[in-house]
Amino acid sequence: MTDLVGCIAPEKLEEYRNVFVYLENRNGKISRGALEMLGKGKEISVKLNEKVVGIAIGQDLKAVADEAASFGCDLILGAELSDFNGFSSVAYTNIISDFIFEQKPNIFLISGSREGRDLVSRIAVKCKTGVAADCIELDGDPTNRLLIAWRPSFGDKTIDQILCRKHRPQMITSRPGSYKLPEKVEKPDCETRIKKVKVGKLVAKHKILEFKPKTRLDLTSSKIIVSGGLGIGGPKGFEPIRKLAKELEGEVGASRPVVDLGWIPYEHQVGQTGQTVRPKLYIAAGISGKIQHIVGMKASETIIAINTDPDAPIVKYSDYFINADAGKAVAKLADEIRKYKKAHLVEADSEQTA
Amino acid sequence: MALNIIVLIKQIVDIDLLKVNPSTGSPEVQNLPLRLENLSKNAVEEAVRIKEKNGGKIYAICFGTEKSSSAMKEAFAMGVDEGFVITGYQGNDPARTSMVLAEKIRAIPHDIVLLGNQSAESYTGLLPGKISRILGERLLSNAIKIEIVNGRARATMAMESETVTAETQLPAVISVTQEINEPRLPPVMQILQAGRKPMNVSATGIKEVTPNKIISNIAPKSERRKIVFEDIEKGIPEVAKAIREASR
Repeated sequence: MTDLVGCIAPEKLEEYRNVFVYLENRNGKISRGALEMLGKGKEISVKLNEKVVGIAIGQDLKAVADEAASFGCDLILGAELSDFNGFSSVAYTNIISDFIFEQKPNIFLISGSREGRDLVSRIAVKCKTGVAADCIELDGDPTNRLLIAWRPSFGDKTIDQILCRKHRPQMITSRPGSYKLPEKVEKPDCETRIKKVKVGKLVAKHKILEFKPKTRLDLTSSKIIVSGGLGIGGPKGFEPIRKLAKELEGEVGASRPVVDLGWIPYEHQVGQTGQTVRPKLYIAAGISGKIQHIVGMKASETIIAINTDPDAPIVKYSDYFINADAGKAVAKLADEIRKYKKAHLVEADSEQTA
Repeated sequence: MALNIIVLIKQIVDIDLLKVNPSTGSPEVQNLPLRLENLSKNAVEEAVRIKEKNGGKIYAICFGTEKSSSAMKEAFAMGVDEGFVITGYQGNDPARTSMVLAEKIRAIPHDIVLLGNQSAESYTGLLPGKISRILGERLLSNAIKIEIVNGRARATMAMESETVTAETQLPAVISVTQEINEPRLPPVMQILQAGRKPMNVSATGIKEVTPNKIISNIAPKSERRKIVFEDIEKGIPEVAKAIREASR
């Protein structure tokens, strides 16, 4: 049994080259998480003087290849599925592992989405290497051709720095929302090789009965989020929060305890077991800032917190902190913003008439 | 049909109480209270519900330490019938943990293996995939609903951008999300009886396997501005201004 899953260090590490990125996609579009990884992959490949190679599986891969090329992918290897449309961790693991055995990547980056985590864990067992999961920052070490990864441990009170010295590929995941989206390159220069693959036999024992796009609220690409925690006092405490979110054309978020209490549905939950967000502005109202919440929002550009406890952990993760009752302060902020907008609108109107 | 259900549980230190040594930046985990991990409770709850509907027996496996019998007793109180505590846990190492758990799972005839889709302490989310791959069993992941239909497992899975309902043969590994259920608070009678259920304790012989090396572990520095307003009347106009600037 140890043979089956034990990790084997390859003898000739120099045979393993290039930074591979799994291009998770649906309906011809690359997922946000995969684009973030492609951006990181490009940065690291430049630093290590290697190529960034995209692996795509699914249907309509031409569109996927074009999109990846526009973000600086050097080579795209595709497996176009002729007899299956959907995600199968069994089939996808086999296809990606075959690419790995054949191409010998130095580094392999996969978005830590729910599909990504299913895949990466199975691939790591099959390819006998390790995974550094949920990394929050990556860098390349050109001298040793190593990837340096940082990941939170103990729910983010501490950060581990991780190296995979002897095994290949060096496999990494990061949660969607961990990095900024990359910029498009001016002159895409990319080779695409797509092969047709049949997976019917592999997926036969596993029957997909229904496949419906999620209508769930997606906070990962929201620009502004106003979140409520226990400090808002009850389900009604979300009223001023919704009002402020509406004034700012943002979304409503929440911490886990209030979701567990049923004050608001799970789709609003931000944090370790909810969504990882990185808006321009995050307002945490009545949230004490337990580490499980912090991991899900600490990449926000500006963080404003309101709490009656001046020693709450959230204070040290905030740019601005108001030591006050969350409900009152949020209502006042909504009024202030509305007044400003109104005054501004009047000004704009008078400019036009002048 | 009566089912043999294995549920994998984890014991964690109460991370809410975790403190970082201010001079070294390292976490101090000694003497923290231990408890059954959050998602493990959802997995146990689901196991109990499946048993209530279909009949059968629930085994729990916990890879932990000599102190893990308390987590097992929590699981017993919720409705687990028999427990296996494997000692020798030395910290977060999904490669090793998956091997240790898979070895024990193989020794117990089973129809379903249930576990949380991640843990509230390290949340790598790698165990469901690794364990299913090692066992060679099908994986239904991130389940928000589980049914047993004609001897097959049917699960509705909350994936990143869609909800997928799929059916697979048994035995199968199923990981559950926090949304799947509300873990029960065990009745007093069951808490009292928990101590009498069979608990098997053994040590693992599997040594460290992970190729990844942690080369440092320190507390993150926060580089936020940390501007504090003690007076709400002064704070509101300033913060409203900051909101306008930030949301531009």
